[in-house]
Amino acid sequence: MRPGDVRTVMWKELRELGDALTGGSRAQLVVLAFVGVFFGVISPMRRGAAWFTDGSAVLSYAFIGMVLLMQPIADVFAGERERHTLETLLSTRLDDSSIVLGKLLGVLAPVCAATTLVYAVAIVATNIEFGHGQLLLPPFWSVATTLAAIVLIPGLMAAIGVNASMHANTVRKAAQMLSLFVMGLVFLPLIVTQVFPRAWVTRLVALLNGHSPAQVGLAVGAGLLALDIGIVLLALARFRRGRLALD
Amino acid sequence: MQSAIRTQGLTRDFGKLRALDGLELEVPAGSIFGFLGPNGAGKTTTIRLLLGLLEPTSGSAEILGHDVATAGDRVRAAAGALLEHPGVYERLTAERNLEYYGRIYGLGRVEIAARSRELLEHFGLWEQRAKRAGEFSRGMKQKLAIARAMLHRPKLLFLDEPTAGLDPASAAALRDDLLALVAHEEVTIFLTTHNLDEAERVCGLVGVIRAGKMQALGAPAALRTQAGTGAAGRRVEIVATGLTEELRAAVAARPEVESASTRPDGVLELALREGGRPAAVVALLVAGGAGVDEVRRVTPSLESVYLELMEA
Repeated sequence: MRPGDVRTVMWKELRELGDALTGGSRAQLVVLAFVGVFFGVISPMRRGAAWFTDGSAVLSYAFIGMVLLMQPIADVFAGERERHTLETLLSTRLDDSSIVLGKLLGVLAPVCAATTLVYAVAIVATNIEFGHGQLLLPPFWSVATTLAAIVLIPGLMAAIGVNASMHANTVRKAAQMLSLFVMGLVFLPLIVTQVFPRAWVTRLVALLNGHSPAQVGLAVGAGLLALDIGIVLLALARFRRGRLALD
Repeated sequence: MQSAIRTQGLTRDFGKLRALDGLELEVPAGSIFGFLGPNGAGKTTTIRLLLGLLEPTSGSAEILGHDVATAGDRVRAAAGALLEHPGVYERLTAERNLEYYGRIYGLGRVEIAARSRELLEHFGLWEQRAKRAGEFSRGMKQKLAIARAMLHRPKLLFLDEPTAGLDPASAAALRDDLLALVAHEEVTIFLTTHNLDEAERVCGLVGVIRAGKMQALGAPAALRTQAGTGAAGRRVEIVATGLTEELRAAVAARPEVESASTRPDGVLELALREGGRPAAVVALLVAGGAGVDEVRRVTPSLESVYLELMEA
């Protein structure tokens, strides 16, 4: 893998995304504006500073990232295949890992940046509404956990999305596979509580209660990071020029 | 002369289908090789194998001294390709398309700008450089894709049907460009085309493939000479006045004549049997009252060679 090549592929993904936003795709701009206004202004202004510590920020901002990521990540390979640009890209000197990582990061980076921006706007909005001259800031563990969630949860989705898009014939098919994953993620807590024995769930809750939020966040973050890396490695292993050229 | 492309027994199967069957090919550096064949003959599979996009079932290929199986990345770094589809990014402008590929091949910013301008101007796209490629006509996309393939001055160019979608003037200009590239920069060009006239004009070496097997390989002139001994080389045209249907039938009945037909322009067209000569036919026509103005052997064109190979 050559970092310069990863940056080159990222550059193209960012260019296309930027051109899509400034060009014809008004729908994506509307989604972005809605997400920004709702999660950056309306929601924090209604809830007060409690959202700094109640853990809801972690889920909210991870959710934003997942929503923003859905379409572009499904497009990375399947879209190139649909538009007949993939084979030409494969015929260049770019190595496999630069293509995979460049595409993944080219989509993930702007999504994480946009989500972080919304998070920052939400903190400012909370201060304007509830600060009364004092600076209100979330505790460090909350900021760290939220930022980690903004990167790692959409990162997990991006890694799965790259895998889904790699051999999907159409963007639509890749997006459908991703939707199934998101549904699985949403229903996972329910499945865990229903399927696993009651005693296991009780022990898990007790285990979580026995540790500080920072410790739990660190453990979950480490697990997610390992999962993200594992699924990216799976994508690299599945990347075969021959199969990609023929799909 | 050094070979730019050398294959030995290159074979590729897709399940039970043998798409390419033991291809033996040697293309000298600094030449244009024309790969001819009907759709599904194995041309695209060959290009994919030579670029390392597919792994061969058996056999090997060496490109510019690099084994494709072990140094595919070096092959791709030294080659430029226009494949089956133009492969341009329709959401990017023409300029950005070239910038992307310039970056991929490690060109500097200044070099990308200069080379992009040179190529876009050359192909008449400079004024359209800020337009999205999606707004381009098919011919303009094709020109942009050719510019992209040439951008990093590759030593080897794979061009799959490069003149498809181009108007006749642009196609002729591109043929001149290809000849100039070979003459001045010693680039090797691997060209697939359905345009046999084009192949005859620009290719120093031509291969005809059918159902994955190479049917003929050689210089266009050599292939025509070879065909001269076959059915394509035994065609004779007779320009005469006073040709009647009875005379045509009498000519067709001669033992040395395989077939005789009168074209709409009145020219009598003969296909002679092996060893057959037109003298007796001319004598028959004169005796029948026809005035023979001209008798000429038809030099087989690459097209007739190709059609003969396809019908065999």
